[in-house]
Amino acid sequence: MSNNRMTNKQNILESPKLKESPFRMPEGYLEALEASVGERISKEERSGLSAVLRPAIALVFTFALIFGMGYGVLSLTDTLNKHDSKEDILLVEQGWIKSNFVDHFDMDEDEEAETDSLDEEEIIDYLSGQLSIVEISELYAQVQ
Amino acid sequence: MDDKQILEIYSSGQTRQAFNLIIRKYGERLYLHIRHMTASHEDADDCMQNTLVKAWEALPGFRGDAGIYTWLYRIATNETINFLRKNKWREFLSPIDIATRLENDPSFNGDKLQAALQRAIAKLPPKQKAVFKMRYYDDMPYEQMAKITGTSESALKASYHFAYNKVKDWVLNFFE
Repeated sequence: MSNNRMTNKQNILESPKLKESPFRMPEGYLEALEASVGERISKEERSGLSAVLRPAIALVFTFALIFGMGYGVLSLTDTLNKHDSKEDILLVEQGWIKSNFVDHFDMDEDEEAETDSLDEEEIIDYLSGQLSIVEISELYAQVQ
Repeated sequence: MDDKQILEIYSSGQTRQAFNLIIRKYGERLYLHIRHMTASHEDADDCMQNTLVKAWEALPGFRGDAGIYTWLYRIATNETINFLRKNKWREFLSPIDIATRLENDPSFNGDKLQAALQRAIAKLPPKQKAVFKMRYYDDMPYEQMAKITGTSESALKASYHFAYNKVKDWVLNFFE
């Protein structure tokens, strides 16, 4: 009985019919597979490209941000020095406006300098104390 | 068109065209190989897609030492084993009787005995399923199976022996 059962067991799996494939591929499967695999490949290639470009883009944005912040700070601190139009330059040269931050607060010193200028009488007094009347008359003749 | 010609098309820059030729040439054999391990068409389709995407990524490094089909067969076997391992909890949580599912599957042509065999194979652990399929249906030498699975020949012989006996018992039990 036991031997008979063993033979049956062996026969079942060794049956040639059982070794045939019971499956078949559905109609049109390969065409659909080609399309879906193609789509997945394209999608992965796109995401792969963006993964490569993402750090580079981040670097550019970081650089632009740092540059922008630096430029902003420089612009704010350098605002008083921005008189570069021709009209401004002319006014600076003529002494009507001050050319820089230091000049702007240096008005008192300028006024002192202006008041300290020597007049003709003072020069003559000085020279008369240092030179003889003959030398002064010679100098006066040369100037004339 | 043979493998050499397909690889020449690939090397000429027509990569997608060459890859589609590979799918058309080997797709059916590869599908049936995977289908024997998954039993369901949906799972076989998932494994096919994963296999082909992996093959596409690895194709630039393919040296042609083995034939394209041998190379694809190896990728498909390992991909399917991994798929089955990942999804074994799904089967555990919502067990669906494979024999009932196959009866309503238009891509299954088998009789009751073949359905019982598939039901028994479905109960095997993932790697034993692959070993049983390669030996029972493909009659593959153990040496080649060892190269594909990265397992020693003696371990494969033992694995097949266990799988064969279990399947035999389960098939008989279905009819008792």
